Amino acid sequence: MVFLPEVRWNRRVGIVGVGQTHHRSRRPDVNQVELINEAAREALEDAGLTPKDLAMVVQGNMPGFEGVHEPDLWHVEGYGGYLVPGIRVTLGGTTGGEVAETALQLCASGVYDVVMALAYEKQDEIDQTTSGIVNVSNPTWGKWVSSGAVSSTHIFDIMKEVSLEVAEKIIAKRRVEIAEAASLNPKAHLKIKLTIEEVMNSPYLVYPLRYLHMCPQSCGACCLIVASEEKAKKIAKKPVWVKDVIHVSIPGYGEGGQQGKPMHESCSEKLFKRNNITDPMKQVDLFELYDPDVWRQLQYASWFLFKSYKETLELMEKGVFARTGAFPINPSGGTVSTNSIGCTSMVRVAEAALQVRGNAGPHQVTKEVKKALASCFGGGGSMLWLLSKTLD
Amino acid sequence: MVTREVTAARKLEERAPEYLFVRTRALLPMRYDAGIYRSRFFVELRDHKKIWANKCPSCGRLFCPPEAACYFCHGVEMPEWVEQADEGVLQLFQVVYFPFTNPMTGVAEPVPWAHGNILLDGGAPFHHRLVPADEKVLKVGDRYKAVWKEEGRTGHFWDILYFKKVEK
Repeated sequence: MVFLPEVRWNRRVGIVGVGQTHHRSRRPDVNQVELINEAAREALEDAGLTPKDLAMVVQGNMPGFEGVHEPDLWHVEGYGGYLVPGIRVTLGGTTGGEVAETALQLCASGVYDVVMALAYEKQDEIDQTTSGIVNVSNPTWGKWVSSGAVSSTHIFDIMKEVSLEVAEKIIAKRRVEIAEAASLNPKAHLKIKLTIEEVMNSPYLVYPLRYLHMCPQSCGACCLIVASEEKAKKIAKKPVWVKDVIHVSIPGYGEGGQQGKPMHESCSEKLFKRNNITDPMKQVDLFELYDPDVWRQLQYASWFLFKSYKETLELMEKGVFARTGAFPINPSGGTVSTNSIGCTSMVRVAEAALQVRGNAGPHQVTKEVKKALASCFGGGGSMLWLLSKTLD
Repeated sequence: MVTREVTAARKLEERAPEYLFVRTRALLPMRYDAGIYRSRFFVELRDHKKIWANKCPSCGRLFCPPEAACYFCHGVEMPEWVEQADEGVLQLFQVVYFPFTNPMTGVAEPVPWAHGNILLDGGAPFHHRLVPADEKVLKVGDRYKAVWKEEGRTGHFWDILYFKKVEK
């Protein structure tokens, strides 16, 4: 099930600047432009660059959530891009990853040397996030039978292998572990203390998905600056090299059912093959995974790593995926702790890059990170990044 | 809780003493065309209370409601129609407990409500509403049958009101 043609990179690309706002449920103190500005400024400071050094700016968010047609024109003020070419790409939850991938491609193509990728979401300005996501479905049918991202089909899929009783306990334990990791991340949104009982007794959103299994609605922005090999070595002391990116699309929500398994599997199948990875949990040190809820962390990890749900649950129970574990998944707290939709996918790449660079902050993992995976997801798209400390 | 951020670049003193906003309520009236295949599908619902699927000539998959092209076989036209029964086996269900505004109507529906996939007799998977919205009653593998709107069908999703369990 791999449809992708071979991709040729004309040159290697490194991440030289990372910026991210704090993520909160409400940011009434700033408008969209000012929110973007915070992330852009931090990334430029991190790289030691000014907007004049940028050859191109790519930006995006979840389409429609900003309530402005052509928001990119308004947002130019936010990143200081006057007379710098700018484009906008959007792809639902995958937007942040797609914005970064576009910047990467513009650079890898050989046309642009230094490119800024900028993604954000300000969900306190739109009343109904789920209404927006339901609006993704087919207007003549699917929209009448959708609850958007708050869905439980994946749990029924997991229940074919493991009973709900057994799985729910491990999922709750993992949720507590995620909250602990997020509490260390200064940028994370949900920094809460949880107990297993609280998770297991929280109300249903969509049976059997519970309130505390699900991600929050956040406001925040993220910014990456990428540069060609030659430039990256000049700009940054420790550029994080992008080894590879795989991106696939499928028909999104609704009537045909989600084709999530072939989508995620074809991403990792291709990425692992192209990079000679036979045992990802040994050859890669860390995984920043796009997990809309804890159950989908279980599901997507199983698909990406080619494991059964049972095997992944066992690893989860043993604490292998914890921040201090052998194969940390989401030491940042992941999407479950922070979901500023349009930039969430970019936050995965940014957090993985910071871990590789070794200065993520208090949530830096205890082991050395030479290679990291980051996944992006939303509606009908999945993406998998492989980042590396070295160019080899 | 209102959180006020102070970044390194901007000092608190420079900020406004209170934060205001502008509220708008944009309406977005749309008229979505059903297209070649779904127009025929909706006419059959409206005039004959019949459910039709279309079939991919390449892989044989059935699509209900019909699609213009099979997304597995990449852009193949699908002119073959297969009639479906208005009942089948429940394959998957969801009971929605959290309220949200339906973007089609601008109104939040009362919760809980349920929807699910039914494998119709005739072979096509079909996605519609289920009654009752109770995970203790709904069971994968049970048989469910369509309850039709008897008067005033318009060629719409709601020409079928919901699917109801067939009592043995």
